[in-house]
Amino acid sequence: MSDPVLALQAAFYTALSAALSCTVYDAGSVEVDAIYPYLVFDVVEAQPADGLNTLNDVVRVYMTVWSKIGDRSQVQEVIQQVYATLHQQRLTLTAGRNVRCQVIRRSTAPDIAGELFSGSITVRALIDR
Amino acid sequence: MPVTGGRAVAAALRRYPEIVRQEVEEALQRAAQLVLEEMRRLTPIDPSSTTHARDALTVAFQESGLTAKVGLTTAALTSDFFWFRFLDLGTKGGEVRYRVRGTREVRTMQTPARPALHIRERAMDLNRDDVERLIRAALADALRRGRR
Repeated sequence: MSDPVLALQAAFYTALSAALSCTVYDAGSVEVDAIYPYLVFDVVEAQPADGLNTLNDVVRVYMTVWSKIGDRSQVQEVIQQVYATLHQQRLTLTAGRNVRCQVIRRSTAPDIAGELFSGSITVRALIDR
Repeated sequence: MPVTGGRAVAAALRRYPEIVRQEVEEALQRAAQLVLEEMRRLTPIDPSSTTHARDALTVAFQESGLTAKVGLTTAALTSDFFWFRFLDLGTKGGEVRYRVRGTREVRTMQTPARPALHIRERAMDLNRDDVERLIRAALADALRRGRR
């Protein structure tokens, strides 16, 4: 795996799968009969860190937690686990180097049908190519 | 030694709040437009449909001019383009119930499990630097204008 962005996502997957009490899926791979709660990697977006430096990328990873518990408690618990696992951490990558990860956004919201709760987490990571 | 110019300084300081408000208001309008364009770019369309949530995204400013709401800015638009929420926040898949606006009728529809596109959050994240630059420049311009 020579792409640091892919390596970062793989490192996130490994770290979160080990730390969370729920299943971690990539976008599009959620099983029909997935057991709640679960976490999905929705979008991974990489940009050059600035206009001059092509050696660093800022990667933002957008994730969602889905829960069938009718209040925020379970979603917040998973979000807290993600925060504890990734915030201000430096993950080991198979390509490139992770300078720092920061959880920059955490939110929870009820589903439109009122049956589910979902939570959104955004992690910003700086990587050296 | 007498100190002069106190009235001119006081007059300049009185002008600052209005000048700052004008400059920041203009900057905020440009910033909101940047975020709106990004949201439109990130919102997919259904080629088989004639109405697209992308076309309904707008900017609405509060009366003060210093607060902008970007996206589906009214309850009617939110209701008409309810599927924008599914695009933005994702879906678990399966049966979804919704109420038709203005009635008590509840309908159901089958939706596939879709990952959230995080349209609003990404539009902000991708433009945060530009928005901050616009507002910083507006404040600097206001200070320059106030000194004249």
